Amino acid sequence: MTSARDDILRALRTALNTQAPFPADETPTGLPVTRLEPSEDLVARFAAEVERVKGQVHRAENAIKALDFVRDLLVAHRVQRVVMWDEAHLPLRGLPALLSALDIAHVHGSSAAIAEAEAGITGADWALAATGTLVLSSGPGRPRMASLLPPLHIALLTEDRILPRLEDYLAAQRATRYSVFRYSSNVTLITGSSRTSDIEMHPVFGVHGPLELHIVLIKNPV
Amino acid sequence: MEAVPFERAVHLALADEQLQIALDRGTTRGVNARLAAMGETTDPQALRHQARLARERALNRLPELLEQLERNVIANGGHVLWARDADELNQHILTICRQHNVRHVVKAKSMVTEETGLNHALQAHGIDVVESDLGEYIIQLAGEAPSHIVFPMLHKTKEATAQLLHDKLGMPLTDQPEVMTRFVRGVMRQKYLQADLGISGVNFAIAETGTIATVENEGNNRLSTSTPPIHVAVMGLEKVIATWEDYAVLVQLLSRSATGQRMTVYNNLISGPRRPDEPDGPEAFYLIILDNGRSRILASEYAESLACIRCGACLNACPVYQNIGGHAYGWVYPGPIGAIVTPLLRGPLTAPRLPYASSLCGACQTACPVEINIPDMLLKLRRDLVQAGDPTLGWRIGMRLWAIAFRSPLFYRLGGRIASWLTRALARDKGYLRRLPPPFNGWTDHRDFPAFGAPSFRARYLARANSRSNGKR
Amino acid sequence: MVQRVAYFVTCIADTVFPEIGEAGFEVLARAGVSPEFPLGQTCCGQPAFNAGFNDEARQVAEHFVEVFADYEAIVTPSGSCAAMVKHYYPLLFRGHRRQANAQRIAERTYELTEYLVDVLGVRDLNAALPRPTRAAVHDACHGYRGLGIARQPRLLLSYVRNLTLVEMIGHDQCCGFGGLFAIKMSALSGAMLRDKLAAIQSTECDLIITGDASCMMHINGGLSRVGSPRRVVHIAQVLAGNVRY
Repeated sequence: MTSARDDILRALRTALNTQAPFPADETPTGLPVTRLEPSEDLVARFAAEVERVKGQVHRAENAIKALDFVRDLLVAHRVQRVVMWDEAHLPLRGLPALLSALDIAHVHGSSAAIAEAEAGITGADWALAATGTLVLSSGPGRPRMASLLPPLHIALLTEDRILPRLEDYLAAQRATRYSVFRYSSNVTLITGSSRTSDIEMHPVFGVHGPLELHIVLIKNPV
Repeated sequence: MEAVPFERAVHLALADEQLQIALDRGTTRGVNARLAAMGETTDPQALRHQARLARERALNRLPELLEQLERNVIANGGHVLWARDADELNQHILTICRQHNVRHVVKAKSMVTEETGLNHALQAHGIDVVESDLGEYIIQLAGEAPSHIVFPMLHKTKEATAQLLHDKLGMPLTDQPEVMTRFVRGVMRQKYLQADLGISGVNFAIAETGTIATVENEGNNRLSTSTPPIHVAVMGLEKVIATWEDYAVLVQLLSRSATGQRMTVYNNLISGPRRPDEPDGPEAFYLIILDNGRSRILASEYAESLACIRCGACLNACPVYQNIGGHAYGWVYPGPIGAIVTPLLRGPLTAPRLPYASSLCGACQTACPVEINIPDMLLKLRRDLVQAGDPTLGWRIGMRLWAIAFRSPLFYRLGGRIASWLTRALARDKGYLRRLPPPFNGWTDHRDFPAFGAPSFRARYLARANSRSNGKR
Repeated sequence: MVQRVAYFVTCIADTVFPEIGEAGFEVLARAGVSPEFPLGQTCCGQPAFNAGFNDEARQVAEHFVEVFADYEAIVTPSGSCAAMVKHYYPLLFRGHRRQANAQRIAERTYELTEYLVDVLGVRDLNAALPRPTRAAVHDACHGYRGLGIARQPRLLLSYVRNLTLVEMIGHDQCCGFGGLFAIKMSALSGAMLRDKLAAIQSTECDLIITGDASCMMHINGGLSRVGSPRRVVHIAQVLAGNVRY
């Protein structure tokens, strides 16, 4: 009794032996998909693209301003519980103290507990200017749920993490022999807030994922 | 066997006013969105060609890429299962459910699981399955099948949706899609948190790292594959691709072609179960690779159909789909690509009308991000049906006679003169006939038929040539 | 460059609309071409081919290949017939004793506007419409998508006096003819025709111009049925200065 695996692979090999189906003899050009001018300001482009997909960018000159933005957001949304990446993975210090000062609980543990949080605070591995995309990988101290369950997602990002395009991100991964996919079970590219057009192609924002995405974009210290 | 004969399904669809409104809105938006999104890329035609080459390279190396994929998924801590047909796939999942005592399943969109009828198989064993994608959830509530690859409830108006949510879940009536969506969000939260197992499809499986990629806008795929302790990913074997460079062009053309977006809100790259040091994510990951006729297609003249990335652009562009919607196609895959893969996966005589349900206009081919020549395959399927003896005796005799007449200049001219005389006689100076006799009456059911001109061009040419030569004498 | 040019009138422009056959011939003459008209010609075989009857199609196509064997160019006032010969004859004759002939014929066949613009370099044919007219082009599918013919008809029409060219929304939407599709799937074909008529209705134009007589026949059949005064004419008729509307 041959296994399904054997049968399938054999059938495929037989198929390809009877006729190699496609010429496919041209080499890939690596042409990038999204238009981006060589001289384009990546930070400005990133911010514009995030707004295009209904996210919001708060540009902070320094860490103090960045903390102010986070405070304002948490207060404005009446946040009482937050799920957050470990400070070691954030580009900003002082958040645990800020949360204490605002009497906001930092939630850990089960998804059920995290589901009660009103906000999630994360960093980002990289950002992609051409599409306003954040790249987040899962890992120790970086729960997936922080950018997924709460209705408000606050992402902290420094300007130097902004790459031009998806193709550049993947080229960077290639240089590390794609180690990110070995160490991280889940890499998510986030472009804007959760949305749907299922009901008569009418766009609605905030479906199962976060309703609002706020990116605090921190200028790197000179 | 077709559940509803195709012609009848067409008549029902054409007469359904709600459907016609929904189709008009939906397909128009879809076409415009795709045109805008492709138009603003660096080079639309060159990119389509790159995407095509990426698919061709993968198909040429399917067995070794699948083996590489398997090795890498296992190295990441996942399991790989293989299914020769629909039943085997369903059985695999039932076994996993039994082993892990699964009672509640949450599902992100997967056309392959529609193909295998997974939901029914699970429900028959007392396992509760909830579709988490908003559109799929709504039609699940309605007890309907999806009518579009990307927009499963394209056939439903918002009024009908609100009524359904009111009737089934007690939602207060509204005409606001926002309100309906919030309501469903609340309902689904609980399902995600309670589910024992999450099922997803696979848009692309990147062999070089054992990563499965999914695209979505709602967040339901992320949730379905993150909160439950087990994640089962189901893929047709043609979905494997070789490299991350291929992923870049394919995933971006997929979202631009499907919804007009540069990137969908979430692009998820899942490489096995959670790592031991990760705080969340599933503890177990299964990838199930399905054949169900695909290896047979790879061996055939229709191998190109395996390049499809399931974007749905051909549906939106097709004037036939625009008029009848997805259900009339009778199975899981509607539209131009459905007209091809349905007979190929299920057998040509299960859907003998589908290859003829096309004027061969080519809009599908133009819309396809991987340059699939759908019209040529429709023509080949028609040829196959003729060779299998499908057309009626009347058609076969008629075509035989037609060929005899039209390859003989004498019979051709004679036939032309008879037809010309007949049409002019029947038209009686009006220039048009309102009724043609069978088997041509289908024409005049919907439009007038012209009386042929006379004399023929050939006769006029000869007359002029003769008079010139007479004049010269 | 003097080629031996043959005119393939097509069965429909020979028997149903001989005035189109004449117009196409006249246009070539105005462009300085003396086309020959092989008297034994019949049909390209497309109706059978589209219905999946490859054997029957090939029998008729074989006759075509014989009739047009000795010409350097074969010009026809039909995008769909040209596409049939150019794209499908090589497939139809694969492995056949006539394969080389068929291949040669495929490479030498042109649609009328394609031949005028791309081969002859013609632009102004000194044509005029009888009165100031707004006209829109219906891009027939096989010519438009199969052969990439879109620029050529518009270029030629831009030189026609009394003609203001407007673009129809859905100018490239199939009219629903599709050969035997119009009879086999008549309800679907009728629905597609209705969409086309609606597009025409919403375009401010007096006249619709197309490059395929089959589309013309189909759309005019619909216009006549709904009692519309508008008509579709063939581009050859416009360019030959011989069109009534």
